[in-house]
Amino acid sequence: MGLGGVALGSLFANTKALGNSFSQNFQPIQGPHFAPKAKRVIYLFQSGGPSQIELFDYKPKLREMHGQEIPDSVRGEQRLSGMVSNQATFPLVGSHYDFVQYGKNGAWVSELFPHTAKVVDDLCIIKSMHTEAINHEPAVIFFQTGSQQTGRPSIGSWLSYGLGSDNENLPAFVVLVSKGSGAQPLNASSWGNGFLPSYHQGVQFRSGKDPVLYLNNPEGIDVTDRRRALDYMKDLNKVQQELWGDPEIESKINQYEMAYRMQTSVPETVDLSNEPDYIFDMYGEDARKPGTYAANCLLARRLAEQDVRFIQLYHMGWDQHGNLPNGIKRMAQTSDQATAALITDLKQRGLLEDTLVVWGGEFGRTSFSQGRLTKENYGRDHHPRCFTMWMAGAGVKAGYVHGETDDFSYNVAKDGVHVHDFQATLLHLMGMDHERLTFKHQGRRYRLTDVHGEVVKAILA
Amino acid sequence: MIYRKLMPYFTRISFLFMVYFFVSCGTPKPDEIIAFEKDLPEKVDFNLHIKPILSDRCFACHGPDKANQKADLRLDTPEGAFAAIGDNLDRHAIVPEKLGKSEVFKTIISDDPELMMPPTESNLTLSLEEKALIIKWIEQGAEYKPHWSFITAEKKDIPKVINEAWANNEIDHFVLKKIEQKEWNFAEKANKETLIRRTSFDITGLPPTLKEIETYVSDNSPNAFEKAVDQLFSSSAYGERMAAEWMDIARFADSDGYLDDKHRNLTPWRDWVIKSFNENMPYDQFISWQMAGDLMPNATQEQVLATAFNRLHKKNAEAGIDFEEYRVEYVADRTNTLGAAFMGLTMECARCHDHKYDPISQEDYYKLFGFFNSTNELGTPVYGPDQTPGPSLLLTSDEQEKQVSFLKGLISEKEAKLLELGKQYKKIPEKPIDIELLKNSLKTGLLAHYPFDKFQEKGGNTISPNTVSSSKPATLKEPIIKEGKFGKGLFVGDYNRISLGEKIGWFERTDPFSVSLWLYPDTTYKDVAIFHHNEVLRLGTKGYLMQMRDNKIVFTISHSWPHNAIEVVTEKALPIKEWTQVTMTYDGSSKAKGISLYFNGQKQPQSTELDNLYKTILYEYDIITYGYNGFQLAQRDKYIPFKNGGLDDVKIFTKELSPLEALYNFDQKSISALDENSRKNYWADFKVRNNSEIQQLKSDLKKIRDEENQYLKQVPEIMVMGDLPEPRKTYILNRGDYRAHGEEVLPGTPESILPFDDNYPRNRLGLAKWLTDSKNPLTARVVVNRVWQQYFGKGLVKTSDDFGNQGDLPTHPDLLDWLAVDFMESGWDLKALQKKIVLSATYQQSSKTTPEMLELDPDNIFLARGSRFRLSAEAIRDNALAISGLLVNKVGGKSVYPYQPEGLWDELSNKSWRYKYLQEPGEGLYRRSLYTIWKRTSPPPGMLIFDAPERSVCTVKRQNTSTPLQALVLQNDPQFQEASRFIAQRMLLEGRNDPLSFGFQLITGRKPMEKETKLINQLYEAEFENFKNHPEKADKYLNIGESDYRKELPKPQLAALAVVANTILNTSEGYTRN
Repeated sequence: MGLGGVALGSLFANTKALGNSFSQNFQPIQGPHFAPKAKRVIYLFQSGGPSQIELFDYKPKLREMHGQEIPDSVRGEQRLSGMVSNQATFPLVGSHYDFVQYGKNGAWVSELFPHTAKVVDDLCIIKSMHTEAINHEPAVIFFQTGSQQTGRPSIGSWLSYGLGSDNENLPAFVVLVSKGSGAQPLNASSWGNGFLPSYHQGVQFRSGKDPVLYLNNPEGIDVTDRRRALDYMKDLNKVQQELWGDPEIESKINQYEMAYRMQTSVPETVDLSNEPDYIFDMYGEDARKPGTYAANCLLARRLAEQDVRFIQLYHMGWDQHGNLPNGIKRMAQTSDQATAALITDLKQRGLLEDTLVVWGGEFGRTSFSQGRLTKENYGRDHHPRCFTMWMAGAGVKAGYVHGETDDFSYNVAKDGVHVHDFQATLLHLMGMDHERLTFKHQGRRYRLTDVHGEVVKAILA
Repeated sequence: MIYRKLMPYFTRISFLFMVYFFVSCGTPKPDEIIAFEKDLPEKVDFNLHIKPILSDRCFACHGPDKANQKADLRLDTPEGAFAAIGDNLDRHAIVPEKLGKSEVFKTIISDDPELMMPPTESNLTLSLEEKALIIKWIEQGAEYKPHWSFITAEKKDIPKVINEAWANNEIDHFVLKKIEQKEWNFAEKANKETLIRRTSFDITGLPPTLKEIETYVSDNSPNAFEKAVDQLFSSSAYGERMAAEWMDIARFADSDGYLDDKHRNLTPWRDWVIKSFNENMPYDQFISWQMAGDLMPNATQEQVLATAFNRLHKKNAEAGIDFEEYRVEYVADRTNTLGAAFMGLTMECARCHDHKYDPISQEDYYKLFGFFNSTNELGTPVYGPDQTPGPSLLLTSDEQEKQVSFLKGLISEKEAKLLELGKQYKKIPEKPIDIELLKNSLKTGLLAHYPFDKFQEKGGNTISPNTVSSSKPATLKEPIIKEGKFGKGLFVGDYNRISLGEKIGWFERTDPFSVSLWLYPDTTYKDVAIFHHNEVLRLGTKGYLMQMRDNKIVFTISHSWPHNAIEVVTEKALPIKEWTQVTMTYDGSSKAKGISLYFNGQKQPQSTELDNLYKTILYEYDIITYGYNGFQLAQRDKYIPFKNGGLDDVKIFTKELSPLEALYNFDQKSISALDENSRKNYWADFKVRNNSEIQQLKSDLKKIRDEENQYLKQVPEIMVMGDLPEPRKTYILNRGDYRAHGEEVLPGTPESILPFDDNYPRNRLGLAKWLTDSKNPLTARVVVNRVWQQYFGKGLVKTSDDFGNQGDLPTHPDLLDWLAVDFMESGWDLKALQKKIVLSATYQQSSKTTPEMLELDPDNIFLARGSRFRLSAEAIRDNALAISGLLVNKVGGKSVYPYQPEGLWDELSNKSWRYKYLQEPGEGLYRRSLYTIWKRTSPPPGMLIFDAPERSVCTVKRQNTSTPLQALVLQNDPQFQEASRFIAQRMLLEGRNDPLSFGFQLITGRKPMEKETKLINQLYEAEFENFKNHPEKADKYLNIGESDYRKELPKPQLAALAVVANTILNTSEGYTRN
């Protein structure tokens, strides 16, 4: 069957030997739909909704009209979140921070992002992103799963399912949550497998002694002891297989072997102690503190080196409803250097050629002030109509800016990119046709992009 | 099954040639189609062979979705398929028996991208055998049949079988018939050890004890198995096992989900479910109560409690949400759950457009939606201290119920007495109004008075005096001071605020109080706040609040708005651009009629919006409240300000002003303007209120009301269903968008399934009657199939979540129907149904299989052997607890916090109010897994890893996967390590001469075979050597978990046995039911 011809992916490359009790659901095909540009993705999710206006979307007009009411013609029919729907006035507010043009194409970058500015020639900046959701959780879930309601598989799960893994010792889909400042909570559903088989679940790598849940042997049991028990376990399982004739037992034996390999490979991968000083200098001092965004960026590079298919970071804290000038500055400081370092580091190692890096949040922020606008202070509410993201690396144009917003950074003026378009493009770069990467569940063929999405050809290299 | 062949080489030229050639002389069939014909069934059946293909490849564009039918063609009905296509009267999609005239034929064999069907862009294709089937079906007359699951089930004759002796009951006849047709053999009967373990897990979710195994194995009476089965059904563990599955269906969780994921306690509902299963409540009653218990005549507490089922969905408490968006989302969730849980249909497909595959139109969807749309609820949960998002039910115990009734009785008695005395003492007074008495009365009741005439800067704020208490002035933030009603007054902008000092106006719902103030509306206001002494909406608006809506005055007193609140609104609006004095008075009765509103001293006609206040209205500190601001006017977060409006002369009284006082307070001169009659009446009324006996009675009444208020604070509440007095209107929502109201619809059910009986009420009660109507083709089939799934690992309809066109056909349709009808005839008796299954020979077959049978029937569709599958997430953990002796067998109660890796919840949130995972010492560690706290944004990892669903939405079928993470849990989770140590301890204490064999038997339910004995002995020897040489390792290893082992036991032996136990537990049989 041509359709639904979906790959049997799995947590591990060699786990394709499934028990036949559920093998019917999956019709394995070999590899991607077409030649992929990217072998892996590092998705730096900036959770909370970073303000495009203070970071990338330079709008002198907002400074000019600072304090004036946003024109009705600009606001249009856009719904407001419940945070400001009772606000009586909507004064425009210009960026507190200055912008300078960088790189060969003269892209505008805010003074908040000095390091990012230096790698701007490697970035493909999309200024015309837009989404449908206006509240955090639905918006994050929408980006990650294509639906505002939890319960569908996330991008990483889809790719694990579609492409499997290139590393037999590590999961195809790894999640890193940075220990952040006071921020909007996350939902573990963001890396859930939804209706896909559980091995496509994102596996969270945590800082601390147990980098993957239940990874460590119990106290008093060392690796030799574990190996010994596993060998006996395998022999006992073989006796059972003879007894019951159930092929599922063979699959279980394999899972135990993979678990055993993970016990070595994961700690090796997350151990940053052998990284040279210059690397820490590059990523910033924070990278020495396990669990920080900077440490996770460095870890992401190591996972990329190990060919982990989808590396999902979450960096929380971009939700500046009030006190934006200070809040965003603090966030930029935690994000900028490590992000730029990751690009540079990947590039140095030749990994940027086949790694796609994505930077962005779940929505943007309003060009009018939430709460009171004073001389020094203001806030911005959630804004789904336009915001900035960037991609870098495999398959996307470097040093390129796509799309435009209006003078107020309130509406897309040109080349809008919907969340589903972004998802379709990401899959495309990974060699998957978003219309063909489907899974039949409850009678319906589900896609990451629902029934929407167009590959954004203009940004493809 | 048709044998799949390679497609032969086939060129476009030969194809075209063939078409031209055949069109003129009959049936133009391509060769490779003809090549398939010999493999096709003699008679092609629509339901069996054709509809699965048409549905999957054609219905998306040519199916029930009217708005999206391409070329106006639908193939799901014969009328649609046989009709002329468009305006061309000669073209038909299908002409029965006339292949050459059927467009379907031409397009499916075409390879012209312009013509071919399905079209290229659909990414759908038809295989050659599928084409051949469709072609043969057309040739045979293209007979359509109604969808199997939409036809009322009937009992067909029990099939005759050759090997009658094998059959234990009807089930076996249906199953054996097919096996015999295949000329296969059924499997031997499972041995007794296997059977009792299988049955115990299937019925109770727990393993049999060694004693239970022994009793059964040694019982040679003919009904030994039946006795054992009866024993299992009578165990309370049965209800727990059934409830675990029902909790997936009901998307049960201990938190709201979404961003904030606030916690909530719905465990009383879960306990009711356990109890109902254990009491074997008939299934029709079980679901009817959950659907509509609140609407039943004289509904009992238990019936109302059952309706919590429809409140178990996620709830969004994020600050910036549009409440209506999420209210609609919840109603949709209930509708989808109804479809999945009871009807086996994927309703949500019809939320945005007609269903693509099943005859469920978008209108049908919103008719069902209408049943759930009248709940009196908000789109956000409320979550302050003691807040339960309404509608809610007070869960009084019997004793509490008595006490509450007693207090309520006393209150009614006193209220009646008050009324009676009032009438009795109200006499037309002879003397004129005593103005001094009136003045004095007003003065003694006056708590605070802010004339807003004098202002003073103090510490960066402006303050304005309170003439009653100089130490409690009003604090003004950025005041706008202008001419007021008297002297100066305050005006409202965007950011100014008036706060009236600490504890001013701190009133309980039992306190009589009054507030008067002058208002100057600048315009007509849609909805603005005037003053408030309450919490924000998400905290129930607890307290009291005056608003202006279209310039009408709205006064609300709430514990948890809108369910637990009273609210009145004036009929008249305030005039704009002039000053009016507004006075509210309240008598402390918690009744809407206890509130009076006056404009310029004149009592206003008012209507009651809400009248159900029964709990405290006072602010209470808690980690998720935001602090309390007391009595404020002007700007307020989340409320629209009374912009450019004027405020003046605010007075707060600690009593309910009488009409005379209200009038006098408005204008002293107005008394003299009253006509004689009114004046006498007012004065009489005033006198009665001040009668000392009445005053005493009021004071007594308040004491009892306070006592009742205090008493109710300890009574827990739970979310349930409850409809508004007037049903909310339901509209078709275009594209599913909550803002896009289409046509209005009335509650109803899809005609295609079963017409709604006109005698049924058009509410949830009617819906429950429709669901459990014996003519309903779905309800019984769906549940019988799900029960079958529990006992065989998969249903007779494999897609237990989809009985529609895209779902699998039943493997044994006649058996399913027979069981469904029998189930209804038995009075929807779940235990009887399960017992019949368990007692069947089919169920009792051995699950051992051979390569030949695996080849012939890999998925065991024909049931010629027993089924073997991995235990559920709950059963895996419960098994370890049970066999180690750690399990605490206590039914019900609040959810518990067993071992969980540290920091999981903390990683997701930095909020100061975030919930902490407080691992419990003691029994909370060892309860059955269905009691483990289920936090939606971070469910118990061990459960998810073993395929438990997230509980976001109704789930009727779990996956059964095998992953390395599962291996890590079973080997390294302290829960399993501790259990392994306790198994080891039992091996030493109870295993007599052969602890290893004893342990093996504990874990697998059978004695080890020779090879196994050898292996575990070797492993034990190696481990013993290891721990003997490294006592420090034994010390560490034996120290895992909270429970101490018996210290007199030898450590190296114990540790070595624990490793052996954990190893056996990790073999397939350790977590598989055979």
